[in-house]
Amino acid sequence: MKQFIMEIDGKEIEAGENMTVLDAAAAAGIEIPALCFSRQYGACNTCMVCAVRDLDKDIIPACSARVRPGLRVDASSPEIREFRKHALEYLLAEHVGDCDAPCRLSCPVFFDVPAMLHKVAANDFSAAAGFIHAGMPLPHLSCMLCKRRPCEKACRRGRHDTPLDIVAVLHAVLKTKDFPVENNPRKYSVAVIGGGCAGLAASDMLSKHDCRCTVFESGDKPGLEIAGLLAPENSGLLENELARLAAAGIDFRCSVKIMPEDIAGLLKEFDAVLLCVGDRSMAVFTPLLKTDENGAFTRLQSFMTSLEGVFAAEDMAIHAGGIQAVADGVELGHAVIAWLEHGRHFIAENRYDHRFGEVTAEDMKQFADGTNSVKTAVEDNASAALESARCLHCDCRKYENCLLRKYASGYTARQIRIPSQRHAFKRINAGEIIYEPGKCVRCGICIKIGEAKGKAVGPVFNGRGYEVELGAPLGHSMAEALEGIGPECAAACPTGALSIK
Amino acid sequence: MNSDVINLHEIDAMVAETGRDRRALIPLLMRINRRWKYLPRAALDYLPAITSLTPSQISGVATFYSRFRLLPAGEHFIQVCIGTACHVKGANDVFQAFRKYLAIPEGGDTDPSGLFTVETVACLGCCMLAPAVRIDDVVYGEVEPDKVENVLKDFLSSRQIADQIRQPGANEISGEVRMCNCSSCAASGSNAVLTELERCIAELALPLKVKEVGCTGMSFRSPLLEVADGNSGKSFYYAKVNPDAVASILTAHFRPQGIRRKLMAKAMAFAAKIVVGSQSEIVCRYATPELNELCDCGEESGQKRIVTYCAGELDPLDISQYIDFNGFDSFKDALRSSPSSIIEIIKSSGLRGRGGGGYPTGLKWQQVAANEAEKKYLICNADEGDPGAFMDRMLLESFPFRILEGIVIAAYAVGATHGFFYVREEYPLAVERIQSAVEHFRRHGLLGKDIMGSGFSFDVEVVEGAGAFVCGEETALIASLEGMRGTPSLRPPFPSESGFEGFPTLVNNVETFASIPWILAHGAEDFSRYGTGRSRGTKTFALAGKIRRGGLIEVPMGMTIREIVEKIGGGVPEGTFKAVQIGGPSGGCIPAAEADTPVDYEALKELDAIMGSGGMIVLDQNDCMVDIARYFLSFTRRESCGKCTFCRIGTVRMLAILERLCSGKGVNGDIEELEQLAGQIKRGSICGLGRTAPNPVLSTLRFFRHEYEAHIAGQCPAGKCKDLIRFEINDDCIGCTICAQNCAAGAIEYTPHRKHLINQEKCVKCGVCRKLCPQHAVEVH
Repeated sequence: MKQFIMEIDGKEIEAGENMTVLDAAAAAGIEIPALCFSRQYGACNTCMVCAVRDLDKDIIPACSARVRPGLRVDASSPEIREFRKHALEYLLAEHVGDCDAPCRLSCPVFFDVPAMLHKVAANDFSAAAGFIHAGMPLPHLSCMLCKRRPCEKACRRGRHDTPLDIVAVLHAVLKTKDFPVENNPRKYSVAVIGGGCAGLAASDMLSKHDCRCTVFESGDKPGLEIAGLLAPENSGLLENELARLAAAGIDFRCSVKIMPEDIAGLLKEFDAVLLCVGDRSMAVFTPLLKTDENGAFTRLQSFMTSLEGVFAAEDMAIHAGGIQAVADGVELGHAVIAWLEHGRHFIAENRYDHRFGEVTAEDMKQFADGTNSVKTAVEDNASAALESARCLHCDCRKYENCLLRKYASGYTARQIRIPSQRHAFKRINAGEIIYEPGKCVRCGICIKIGEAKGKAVGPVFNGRGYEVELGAPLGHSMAEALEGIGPECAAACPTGALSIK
Repeated sequence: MNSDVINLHEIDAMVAETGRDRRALIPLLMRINRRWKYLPRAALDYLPAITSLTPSQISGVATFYSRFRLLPAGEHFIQVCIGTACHVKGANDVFQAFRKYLAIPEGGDTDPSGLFTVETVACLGCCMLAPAVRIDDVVYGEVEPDKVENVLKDFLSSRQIADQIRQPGANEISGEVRMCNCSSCAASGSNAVLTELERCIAELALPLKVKEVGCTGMSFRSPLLEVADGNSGKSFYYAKVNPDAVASILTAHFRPQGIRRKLMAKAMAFAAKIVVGSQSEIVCRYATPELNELCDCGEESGQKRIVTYCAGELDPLDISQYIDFNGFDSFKDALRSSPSSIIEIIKSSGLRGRGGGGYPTGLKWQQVAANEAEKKYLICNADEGDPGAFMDRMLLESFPFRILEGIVIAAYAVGATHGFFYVREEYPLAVERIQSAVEHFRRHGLLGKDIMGSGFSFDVEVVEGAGAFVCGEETALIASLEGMRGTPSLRPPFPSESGFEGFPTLVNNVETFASIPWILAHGAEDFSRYGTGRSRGTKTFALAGKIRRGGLIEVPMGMTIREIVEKIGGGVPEGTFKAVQIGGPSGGCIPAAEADTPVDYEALKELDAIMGSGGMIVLDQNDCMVDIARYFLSFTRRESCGKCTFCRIGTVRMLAILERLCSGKGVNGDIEELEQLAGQIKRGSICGLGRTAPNPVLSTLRFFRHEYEAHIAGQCPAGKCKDLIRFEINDDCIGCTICAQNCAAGAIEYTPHRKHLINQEKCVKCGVCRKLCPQHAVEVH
């Protein structure tokens, strides 16, 4: 193979004949996004998300343009990033579906409600509990502190008949499943001042992330604030939760009032100190901590005060207690970990969320198709499973590994809404695969897989131009077209168009 | 309606003709589609059993090309041409009128009785006769919404008249009557004239021979009859001949034999009127005879005939006549010289691709010649799909031998072994003539093995395109030849390196090939004498639209647009010259103010237009530039293959904005968004179609931005966009009721002898009333 010199982003690179620009860039450690490209089956050059600029010509698709001696390529300038963003936005404008379901998006702690429901519907309570453990702070309490139940209000099923009893399902899981107890040695130690909503949530979160937490509470037991927020019949839940936290290795030191002069000592003993004392008590710390012109102790997102290693939840916790304080405690936990682990301030990654928009009656039919249609009161595991089977699965099956979402997030793409052009939502049952045409970006990878596997009846593009649609050959079903290649196609599909049921 | 019960043995017979491999797919589907007027599911399901084709391959292809129907059709096809020229003359109203008259339900395309299926067709190539409509194989020109009923009646009655052509009793021939019967001439009624000619000659026993000749290009005068008097040696031309006039034209030149026949001749002219009298108003093919008007737009008006050399003199399929006119001399010379010396001649002639791209032809040949391979292919791209362009059709119908000669020379020069002649199916006469020309060539040993003892072997296969504009793109064309969906692929590699089935392939356009024999016969210097800058030689244009004398013209490069419009075309008939649309959906609109621009690849590009294949539509003050842009975008949106994100989705978004503007719903910011989308589509598409798709918008935005702004403000300055205008009757109305009688929407409230009133709620703004009003009392606001 002939070797020669070319240039990407001003860097000289040695490339070989028959390499594509994408190959050459990858060899040089320069990342170029590509949706319609499959390492195994080759480039389709349809999506144009991999656009780079040949400095002697103009835009070329990196996935299929061959390198040549002396080729000079711009792969990362703001201009080219802007161009890729446009390509993504064109695709997103046509996209039909939600990334995350409305229930999750409306949850103050962004708990993955649908993931839990799907597991419960499948009678897999241990997996459901796993999701709760991983994503829900103070699981026994949070939903009880969340008075308005936005998840159930947002539940799309509510527009069809009645929303799911999400909280009931969650508590059914909690009742039946013991949580994994993690009381291992941990890397960091953190002092949490205050055993209210924020303090407990932060300690819960941190103890799951390699931190041994010690909670200093001025009262005689933690969670006094919470007890006041709970309905009397739920008071047992607080006990459950405190027991769980203690079992997870959180050390509670009650009737200890921490004053500004104690902080220096704590900093010697602990890697970080968190002030979760509520906004009224924060005034005590004014002699020690500087405030900015707005009277705030911390900078947004970093949560760190003017004293290195001391964090405070106070600015966010202005809404007093309840679920918002829980959410703030979790965020504070993230900030602490970012600082401990990476020595930098917490930067929330941009997350692209595609939103469905107005749901028509036709769309709803497609959503509801195949779900359990009978509302069931949740009393035990069996009824929880039946109720969970009413879930419309609004969330995308590829919400975690969708390339389109990944690049859209990375390129801060926006969803351009053209209501008159929104396609109807369709969901096609194709054996072990679910096909949602509205999410297809017409890349053609699955067609290539079918061809490579010698399938006479494989996936195919029908139609032309804007009407091109991935489907089965005329007179055949999608199940036939995907038979034998379904899982491979679903794995290769860059979006949620093809996914495992 | 066709039933789904089909005889599968017929498909076996088709497969026997086409073969069983992937390449046979499109020809097979064409045959099935023609036989049953759609693709019956049973036929598609049967194919995998008897061929190597898979359901996936069949499905992808059957749904890609627009000629393939998946639903049964009526007994006859009505194809309403929506090419540019037809569009500006109201083709959409004609289309709607057919649908309305036939009571075709919403969403359907076939009338309830199953007699007619109405569809649109990209371009019939009869632009001077716009709006044109084809019913099965009959083309009607100048069809207006109010003529729909008559056209259908004419079509149904003409099918009952038996073909009466008789050979003339020719023992003493003293003259010749020449006439073109190409698609545009046929559309203007030349068939009827031809039949009448044959009848008169036989009836009156005139000593005459009728000869069908290639088109003169003066379609605005067709049917054009040339009477060559053998005694005087003079030729007389008659333009726009109607059948009634044939007998008197003939008897003016030649004496009928015997007294009885003389008497008959007098009576005949009268009788003929009675027979066709009722029909004579139907179609414009019988309108306005301009007897004895001599043609005056030959070379003296600045044209130069190179590819159309001997226009109007040659019988397209008379090979001996072609030889008499020094045909094949170039080819024989070529066979005696080395391939490289031919390539040198073409290079120094400065010839560039006439299909639109303008790539130097000689250089392309050199690249193909330089690539060593066991096989090399040659493709003649006759997939002329630009709406508003018909040069290639005229050349194919009139000069098939010349094009083939150019092809064989090129094959020899680059070392091609096999050739394809890719002609669009919408040009049936062209397909037929090329097919017979190929057979003539084979019979004369000009194609086949060891041509003329030179050791050089080459043959050509005629392939019909199944209806996809994008197949004019060379890589898409090759995909289509290979039996696949016509989607372009990324270049490089160029076809000259890796084309048909991966072998080096030369792809040139019809006009490019047609230029070759002349260049070799006259020398590169003679050719490059014409032209300007980097654009040498001549270029044909299809001149149509709002122009007095439309037709196929051939001019030296560098002639200005104004000269073409005014000197050759005779200017705009009524009103003022506003702009010229050049280059079709990839081109742009050049305003009258820039009309002194020469036709030259580079100069046109400067103005956001392109030379393109040569469609030139003249627009006047009644043409709305936003509507023109919308029209072209709707064309590219329909014809986009759907591969690249930007073209597939971007054209739809641009079109949505343009439609918004044309319907009075435009908002501030629309113009800027159009510009942004245009820039992105241009850069983000891999083929010529996508890269040039925004041109019609960009060029109209550049020169007619004020019209876009006016649309946002709710006005259409040209009075074209229906949602922005109103028709009203003024006080000049004399209450004659003509408008009311002809209003298809029943929107005119009238009392005889009183001023009529248009009901705005019912009015569909078709403009028929305005056209028919003898008092010109219908105004547009």
